[in-house]
Amino acid sequence: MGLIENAERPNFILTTIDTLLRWGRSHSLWWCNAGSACCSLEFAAMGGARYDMDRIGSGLVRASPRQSDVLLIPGPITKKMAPIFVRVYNQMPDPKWVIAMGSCAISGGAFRESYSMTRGADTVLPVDVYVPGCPVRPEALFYGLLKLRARVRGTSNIGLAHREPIYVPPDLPPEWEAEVREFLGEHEAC
Amino acid sequence: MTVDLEAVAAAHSGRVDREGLDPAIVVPRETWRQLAQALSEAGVWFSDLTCVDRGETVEVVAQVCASASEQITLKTVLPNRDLTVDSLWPVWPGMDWLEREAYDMFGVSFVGHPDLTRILMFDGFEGYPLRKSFLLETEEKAS
Ligand code: SF4
Repeated sequence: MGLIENAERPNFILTTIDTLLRWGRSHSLWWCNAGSACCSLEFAAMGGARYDMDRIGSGLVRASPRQSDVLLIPGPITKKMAPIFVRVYNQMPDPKWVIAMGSCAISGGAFRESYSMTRGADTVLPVDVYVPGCPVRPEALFYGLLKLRARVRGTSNIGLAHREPIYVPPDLPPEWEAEVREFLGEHEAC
Repeated sequence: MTVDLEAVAAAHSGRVDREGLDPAIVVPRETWRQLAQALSEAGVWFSDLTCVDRGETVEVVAQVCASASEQITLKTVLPNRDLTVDSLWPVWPGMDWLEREAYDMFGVSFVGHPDLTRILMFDGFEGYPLRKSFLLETEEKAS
């Protein structure tokens, strides 16, 4: 992979392989769930029949960070745990993405003033997607995942791509709900 | 089994305080471990240990049970400038983690504890977060 990512100029062969890689990756975003608090349960709801993240190939929550692509941070990071989160992140192979789930992971949330908490996951790790809520609704996380998937498919892996974070809007605009519903509806088996 | 609180308190130069929900034996810190020892020999077991910050003083509070329905509180009052008291670990080994927590959160040193290190916070953390004098990061900035 290093050859592709370090290549300076895209050419026909690289872009073709790149397209293939992006397509493959976007359909197999595997999780590393660093379940640090209650938002983790909403993530578990995503695996159930209603949301069923398996339908987009993201159903595998790996026990090892070495096999995963997306680090999910569903809750606050305590100062004591922060080095362990960094270690897990470092163990994940590139390319990797981080989703901060819930107000705790975004800013510290209810524990912001606490003596033992960091103020958001982005004080510790580079975060790609921020999904607000307390707890986050599974639809919101699904929306974040769909956005990330579109990003993974659309972003070239040639050269070092700078990644701007994706912010999922907190006030549930009808468009995104419609988008998720439409997506779920299309794929709904039952 | 009932414990004669007045007699036990008198034997350890303390007093009985009946203001709270359960009667409390308040003793000076010199007799803290002897009190626990005497109660333990009478068949009393402990259920909890914590501290209360009163500003000028810190109270060490232990909850013990003589029977399922008979709860007794043991207290000793330490001045802020010298927060040391005998550990109850030799009497009740289960006090191990409770005393470490009290040390971690309030800075009370338990003399005779086998491994008095922080238990909830990481090593290198500064201050004792449940003390009233502890400043949060925002308060530090404001002051
Ligand atoms: S945002 Fe709310 S639900 Fe999520 S981890 Fe924090 S407190 Fe729990």
